[in-house]
Amino acid sequence: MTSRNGAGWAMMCWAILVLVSFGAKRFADPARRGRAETEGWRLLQAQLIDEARTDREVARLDLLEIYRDGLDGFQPISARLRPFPDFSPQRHGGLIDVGSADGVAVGQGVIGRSGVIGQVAEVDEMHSSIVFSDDPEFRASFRIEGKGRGVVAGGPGRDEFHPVIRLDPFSFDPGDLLLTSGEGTRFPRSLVLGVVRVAHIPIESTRIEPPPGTTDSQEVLILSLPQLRSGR
Amino acid sequence: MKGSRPVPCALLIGLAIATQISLGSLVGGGVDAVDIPLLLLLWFSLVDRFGRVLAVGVAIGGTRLLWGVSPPIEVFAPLATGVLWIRFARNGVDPRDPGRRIALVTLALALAGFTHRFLWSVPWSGSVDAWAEGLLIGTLSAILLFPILDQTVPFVRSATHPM
Repeated sequence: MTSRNGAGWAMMCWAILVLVSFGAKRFADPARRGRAETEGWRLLQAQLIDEARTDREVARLDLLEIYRDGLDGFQPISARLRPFPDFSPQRHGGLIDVGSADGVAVGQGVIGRSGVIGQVAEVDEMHSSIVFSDDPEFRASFRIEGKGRGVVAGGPGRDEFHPVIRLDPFSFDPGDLLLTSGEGTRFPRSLVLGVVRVAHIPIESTRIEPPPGTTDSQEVLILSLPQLRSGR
Repeated sequence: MKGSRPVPCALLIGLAIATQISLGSLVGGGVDAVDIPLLLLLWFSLVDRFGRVLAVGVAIGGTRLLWGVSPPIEVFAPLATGVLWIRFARNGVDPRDPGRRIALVTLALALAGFTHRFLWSVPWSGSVDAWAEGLLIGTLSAILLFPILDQTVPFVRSATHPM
């Protein structure tokens, strides 16, 4: 075999391995596995598009109902979140189907059923990019009931974030629930941010996990402050 | 450009990006340093002329700017750190020695990861475990990937150190 043939074979084998790993994602990702099991149902539902639209509308209304009394003046904008693999491996985010035409702006908070999802990173007219709470760009102020307040930042790994500042003297313990503090213009008070998994000193090495399902495809709410928008 | 082979290079970049995307869901946890396109760029830095290294770096960075939310400094600074380290350090090391080459690449990955974290936060913030796991997986990926890339040298005519 000539060296050029060897090179061709090497590239072809690599390409096959990539294709195999794309196929293996179905088995590795529990959410995808679940979707594969409901493939038959999805085909049936394709014939009933109106029904699917109704389901989506119900999910949106359901989400609005959950947060009806807890948004402290924030105006919710309903959107559909679709996870999107960023080409930079350290960044974790997704796309939403609303943009500047709907009142979305960079930096606004994004919440879902399980709590805080992330924040808006880039805005186009009809769609926007968001970063999840495990992305290095993410910042949020938090409080732990009965302990104190601080600020968290996303990363460094997937499905984790870490504290960067403590505003009160306290120590983290495994199982501590982090809630939004309500300070700033991004999130109202008392939304679930995450749970402390590994407490550490210095505190920057403490490992906090966001609620499960945060990065799944789902209905979400973008939070905008009307007075902030009118003030610009 | 003499010896230029844009199509195989583009194919290699495409394969590296596709591998990155497929691995992103398969490997959980601290995967920060598992950056297959960066590994490809480091391999080019070891074996090829600086012109091609620059072209591959711009291509990888360009895709990240187009299909991502990262600003240019965040995209290019870690790539440049890794490449410059390799170009600086490879003179003292025989790039045909697989062990030393992996040691060089591991240090390049650590420097690139350190640069990326420095841009967003203090570099020592966050759990050390995730960073160490990422570096370990990155090194293992390099050990697996580089022999495959060595096979493609006949397609990259200007490679100065075909292994």
